[in-house]
Amino acid sequence: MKKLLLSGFLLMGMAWAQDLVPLAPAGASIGLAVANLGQSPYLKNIGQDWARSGIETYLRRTIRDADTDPALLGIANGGLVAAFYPNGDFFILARPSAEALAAVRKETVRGQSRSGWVVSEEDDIVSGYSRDLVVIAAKAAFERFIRNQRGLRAPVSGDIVLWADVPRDLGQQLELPPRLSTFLAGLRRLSVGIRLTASGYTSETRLELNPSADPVLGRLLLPSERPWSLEDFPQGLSMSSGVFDIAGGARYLSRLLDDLGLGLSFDLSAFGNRFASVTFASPPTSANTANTADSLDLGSSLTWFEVKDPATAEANLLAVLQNAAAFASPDGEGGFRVLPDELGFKVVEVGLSGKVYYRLESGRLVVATSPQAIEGLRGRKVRENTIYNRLRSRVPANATSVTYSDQGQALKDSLGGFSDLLTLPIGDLGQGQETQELAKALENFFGRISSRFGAGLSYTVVEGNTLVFRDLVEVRW
Amino acid sequence: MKHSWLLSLLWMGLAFGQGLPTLTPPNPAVALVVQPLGQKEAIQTLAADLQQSGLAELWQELLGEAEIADNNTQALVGLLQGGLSVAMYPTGDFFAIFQPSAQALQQIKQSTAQAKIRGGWAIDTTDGLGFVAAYSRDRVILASPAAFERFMRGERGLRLPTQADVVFWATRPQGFSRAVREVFELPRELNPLLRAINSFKRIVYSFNFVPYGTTAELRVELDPTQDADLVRLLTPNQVPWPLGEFPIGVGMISGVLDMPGWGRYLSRISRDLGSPLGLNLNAFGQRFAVVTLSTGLEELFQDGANTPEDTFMQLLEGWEPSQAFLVWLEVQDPKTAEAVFLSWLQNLIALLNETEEEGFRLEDANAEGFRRVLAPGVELHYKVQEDRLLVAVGAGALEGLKRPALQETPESLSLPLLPQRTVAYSFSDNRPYARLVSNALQYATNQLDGIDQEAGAAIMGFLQRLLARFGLQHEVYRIEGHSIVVRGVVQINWENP
Repeated sequence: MKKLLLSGFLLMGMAWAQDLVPLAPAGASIGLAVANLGQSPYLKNIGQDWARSGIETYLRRTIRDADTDPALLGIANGGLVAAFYPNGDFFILARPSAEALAAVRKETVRGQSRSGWVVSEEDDIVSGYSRDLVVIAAKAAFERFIRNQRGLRAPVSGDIVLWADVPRDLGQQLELPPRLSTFLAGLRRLSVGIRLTASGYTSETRLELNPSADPVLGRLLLPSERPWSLEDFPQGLSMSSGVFDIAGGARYLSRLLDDLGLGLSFDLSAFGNRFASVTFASPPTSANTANTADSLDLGSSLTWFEVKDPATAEANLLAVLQNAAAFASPDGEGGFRVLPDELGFKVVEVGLSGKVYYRLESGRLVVATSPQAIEGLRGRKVRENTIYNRLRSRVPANATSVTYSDQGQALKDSLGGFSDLLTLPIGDLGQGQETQELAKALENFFGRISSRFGAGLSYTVVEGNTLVFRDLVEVRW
Repeated sequence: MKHSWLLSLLWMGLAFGQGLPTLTPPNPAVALVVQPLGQKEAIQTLAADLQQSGLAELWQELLGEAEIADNNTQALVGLLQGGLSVAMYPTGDFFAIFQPSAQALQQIKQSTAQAKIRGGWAIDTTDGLGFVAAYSRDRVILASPAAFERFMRGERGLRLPTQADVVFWATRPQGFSRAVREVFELPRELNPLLRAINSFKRIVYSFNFVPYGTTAELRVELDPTQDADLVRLLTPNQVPWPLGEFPIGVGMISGVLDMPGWGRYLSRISRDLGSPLGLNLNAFGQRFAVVTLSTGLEELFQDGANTPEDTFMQLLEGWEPSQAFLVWLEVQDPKTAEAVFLSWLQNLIALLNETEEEGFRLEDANAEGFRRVLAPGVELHYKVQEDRLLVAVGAGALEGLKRPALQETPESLSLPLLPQRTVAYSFSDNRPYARLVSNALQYATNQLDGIDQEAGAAIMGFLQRLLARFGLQHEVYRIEGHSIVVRGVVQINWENP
């Protein structure tokens, strides 16, 4: 069983194989397909980063410790399809490296031959191999496969695709509260397709909705307004402008939580439908506010909210901050305080998270999380960014949200202190050294990766009853 | 059944019972002693009201229907004429002794089928009684067997914590919290809560009929060795704002409440109990005052606004009074206090708001500096001043600020001189309430017919007479050592018109 889990984990590793998809039995509600990325020219250098970072060494050693042949790391080197069926069955087909296939042959004891496959069966799970493929599947799914009941089709295309259908009566099946059932019935399918290109990758995420089942959710996720123009906002690491009915969303979420017995209520009815945000590089953390388990670093950002009723919106914001502070401060410390104004902004101290700055301007509430962010208001505007100007033509006129970012910097920024974060919660388990080694390796890997990333542009559009999110990221392969 | 029903009824119709506490076994956990009150003017007045309203007569008829011999009913209708002494012990035993009138005692003797005599007491030996019922020449005892045995062994003599017409007291028994923990198998985490409960050593309530009304005293004795923080919070040192400076209302209170301290205490207790509240009240201060401007029932009884039928039906259907009141809270950090206040208000409104419509709305300050909060069913204005937050709740509450200060009105003459370490005091005018309830009763009575009307009219008649006697009322909360003592006076006109 342990081996099975481990091999399952390995399938998530690096790999590729659209051509495997039609081999799987049809009718899956969840599917994952990875093309033969092992041969991709784009990933060659990423593979080297992976090897040099020390992760591979670490994994191979760990796998050997678990009494498994490290050659199995290559189990899905040539592609993979994994499918899960509404009745609970699953079917996984992968094309391993020659080395991994040899390991599988060695591991398969008492195999029976069936239509070109050597398989063994344990607890209604069939595993086995053919000349160049390996299979792990529920017995029933394997029988369908053998009887040639194949023909799975992916709803999106790409080098990596993932999709999940929401069963129509999932809520009733799970005996969920009515509003949560309605919410699930309002979702039809989520699909993601990622395609590697010479200059980076593109992804398309499609959320198909069923507005007749949950009209409120439909209205929230399929807006018809246009966002504020991104060009007018200051330039940071990442800039977004979008449309979302904050008041309606808060009402919807409150009711959903209410059904779950969480008596949290959000009344944000004074807010409008538009927002924008700009993230800046985090200011260096001072020693006394260094990351502790209790503190939540707010980073450095500016967020604009459209407001319909400024006085009420300000009170709404204060309530949200006050409630947050109540849970972000141990007894007697910090807590919630309104401080004297700074840089023309009102200042609120929120528990151990630090200070939040805000200002009401015509029809908008601006929230800043650091003085540096406020200074950023006077900096260059997005319209002065040459890369943005080169990419902006890709954004269709009817987009409901747009994000432009410097992915490499943003990634680097969010990875700062990553190894500390990883070691903190698990440091006491007596595996401190090992964990630190893995953390260091991961940090090294992401550090290498992030230097390859360039600009990123993403947007959402509404296509009928589907919310489509397209992402374009420049990568120096 | 008829037997025990009759006995309980007798509790109401007592003759004098001087010395009854001296016969009661000592060391109760809870006890109630009522002195013989037959000669008090107040009781005479109530009896006269009963007669004149026809209620006494009606009661006799009712008792007649219950098949009690006519000559005995008279004995039963003698409200609060005697005394009684009732005690509950930490063991769970109880003991009650009272002194009925000669006629009532006769009735008891007749209805007791079998009795055995022991030490001058005739003990009812009816099977299945579950407790001891005994009578002597002029007294009746109801007790659990163990308590009765203590009485027979001569363990007698209840020590009263104070002398008054009515005294009630409850003492925390030795090892109380340990017993509670063991009986209910409470986890250790609840220890802070038990310590808090254990800080209440004894409460004593006493009540007197006096020529101008009634007086009452509530004494809460605290034990600082249990939960010192709680005792400190309950016995503050500050002086309240002078009540006379606030605009007059039907009810007013000014007091000391260490809001930051309570916030810290409740946060700590709730955290110890595993569900942290995060109640940070550091922006607030130590003083508060509340003025209730109206009874909230006026509009219900406005002439011509409603038919009597409508009024009564509205009352029955749970009509909510539209009270208007003013609240002042001391603040140390006005800006933060305002933000915290707004936050709670929104949480509360969101909690109460069932509609799909918009909830909380806030307006900009008006010329007088008041900001208005709007929500379904809420009409509220507030203003942050240098040292206090003023909240005006209800329609027309702001108008109340224009009323004269209490100290400029004749009602202020009823205010007592404040002793040292007064931590709160209150004033209320019962007359508007009495008038309104009286009106409501009149409407209600008019809706009845036949025999009900007669009964209803008698009850209403009695209550209306009683209500008409009410006047002003005040209470003073004072700290005496580790005790909180509340002394109150209710003005009642016992004189007959």
